[in-house]
Amino acid sequence: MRTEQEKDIISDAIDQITSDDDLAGDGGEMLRRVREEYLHGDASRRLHHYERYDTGRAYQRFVGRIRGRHHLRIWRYVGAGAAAAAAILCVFMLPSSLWEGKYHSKMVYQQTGDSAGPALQRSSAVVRHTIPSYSNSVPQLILPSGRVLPLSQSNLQVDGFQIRMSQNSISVDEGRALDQTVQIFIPRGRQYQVTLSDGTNVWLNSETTLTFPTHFARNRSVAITGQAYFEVTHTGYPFSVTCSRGTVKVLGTSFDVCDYKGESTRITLVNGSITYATPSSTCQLHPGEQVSQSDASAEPTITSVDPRRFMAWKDGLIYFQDELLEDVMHRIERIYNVNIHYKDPALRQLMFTGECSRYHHVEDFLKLLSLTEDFGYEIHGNDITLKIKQPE
Amino acid sequence: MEEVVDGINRKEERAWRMLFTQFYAPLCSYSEQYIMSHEEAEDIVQETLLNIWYKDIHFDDSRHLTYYLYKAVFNNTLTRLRKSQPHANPVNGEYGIWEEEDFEVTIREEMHRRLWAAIQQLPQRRREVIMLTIEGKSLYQISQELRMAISTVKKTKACAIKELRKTTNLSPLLLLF
Repeated sequence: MRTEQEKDIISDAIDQITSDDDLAGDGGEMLRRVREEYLHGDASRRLHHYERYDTGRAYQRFVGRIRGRHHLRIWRYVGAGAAAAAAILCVFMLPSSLWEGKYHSKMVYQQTGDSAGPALQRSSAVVRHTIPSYSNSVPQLILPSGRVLPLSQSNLQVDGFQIRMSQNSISVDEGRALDQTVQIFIPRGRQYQVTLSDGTNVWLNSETTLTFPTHFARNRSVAITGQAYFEVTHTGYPFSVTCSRGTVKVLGTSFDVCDYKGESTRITLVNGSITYATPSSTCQLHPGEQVSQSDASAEPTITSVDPRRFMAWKDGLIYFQDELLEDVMHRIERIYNVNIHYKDPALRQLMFTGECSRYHHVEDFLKLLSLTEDFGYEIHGNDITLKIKQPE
Repeated sequence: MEEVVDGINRKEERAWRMLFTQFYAPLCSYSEQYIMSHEEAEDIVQETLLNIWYKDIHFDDSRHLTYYLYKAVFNNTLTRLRKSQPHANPVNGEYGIWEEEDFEVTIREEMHRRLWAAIQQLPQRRREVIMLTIEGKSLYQISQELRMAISTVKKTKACAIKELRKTTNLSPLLLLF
């Protein structure tokens, strides 16, 4: 039970702070302190911090939960190659517990030695989503000399800079570093977050190489093959990402680069502004736009997309829309470190749409896809064979 | 805001969307100051709001709503801290009571929240200009990013600040831009 008075204490205090009073009396000193802080620009910092919370996404999650709709949908239809003109064959749901799995996180607590004690005991916590690894191979650091170091220890001191490793993240501290260019390679079946020495965060997907200088000066340039999501720290100096067919230039923003060998280069902008330059042209992207380029001689084209679709991977989701089974499976090979074989080549042409959490085993994923009648699979170690299901 | 409170009482989705726009980030930031984790803070706020949705609770007005939200998030944060540190000594004299220090954290958050809520109400262009200003961007950078002339940025910013002064009672304090 709360008294009438108590529910007004917050508003009353703020009324006092915003009044012209000199805030004498009980608690006046505290109110004065808050007023001072506010006047000295604490507000900008705080409001900027608010932007780090994704309200839209939180609201969607909330609505999803109150409506009890935690489903996973996969539906498929047969592509041009197959004779059957079947449209949507199958829509199904999964229990919410599976879906909720992606929000699980693991906590590590460290007590702080601060006993001078604010009212509540403070602690610092490290929280990481534990995305399982489907491979025993570890990331590699490749030095300019060509030397390859496996990143398996928690700390690595190399030629004047330091690398700190934890389960899913890598951070690079520049020491008295010489300006040298190094590479980090993430093998198949793995996914890491890397923090660069200027504070920029980069999520690296499976089978991806990031090339970067150990020391960022005015010119912050990195190069990528594979897929990476960037959250670039704003320092006032430009940041550029070179991929196989062009270069992305930014000041401070978030975007995804997908540039696997044999696939189109695709850059998706989440917020801010970036330019994409090829030797022959330059274009500017708005949030929610994607530029894609199929080969070096082709003109880049800009389309509007839902950026969440292209950054879902960093949150442990596999997302595909109207994609050929063949293309979906390319990704599955990288994510789970498996090799896919087709007993019936016609299967390659099936079209799929759906999403799934990568927290599950590859078999869970195949099970979902094969719930349609004519699709089966066999798993032998890392080799998976897809085939048309024989009628019983 | 009062009709929004009615909508929240009646569990109308539109009002709840508004609740998220105005309170979600500030409440997360509030919780994060104790729990020291971005993800945990978001979880706590999400759970708190879900609890309220499922609870048969009636808020008299926005003051009541505001008070309740902070108190509930505070309590749930405390519970979460206890759970993860079962052997930690109870530091608060009494569970769920705001010591002066906690109260200070609360009103500081609420002041910023009011400004935040007012900014969210601005028309899109004005809001964008204000948010970029908050990020510390110069007029020139804003004009580049939004592809507007510098003079237009200036004008838009002035209008936005004028409007904020009108809609919040924080006017003497709006020196920050």
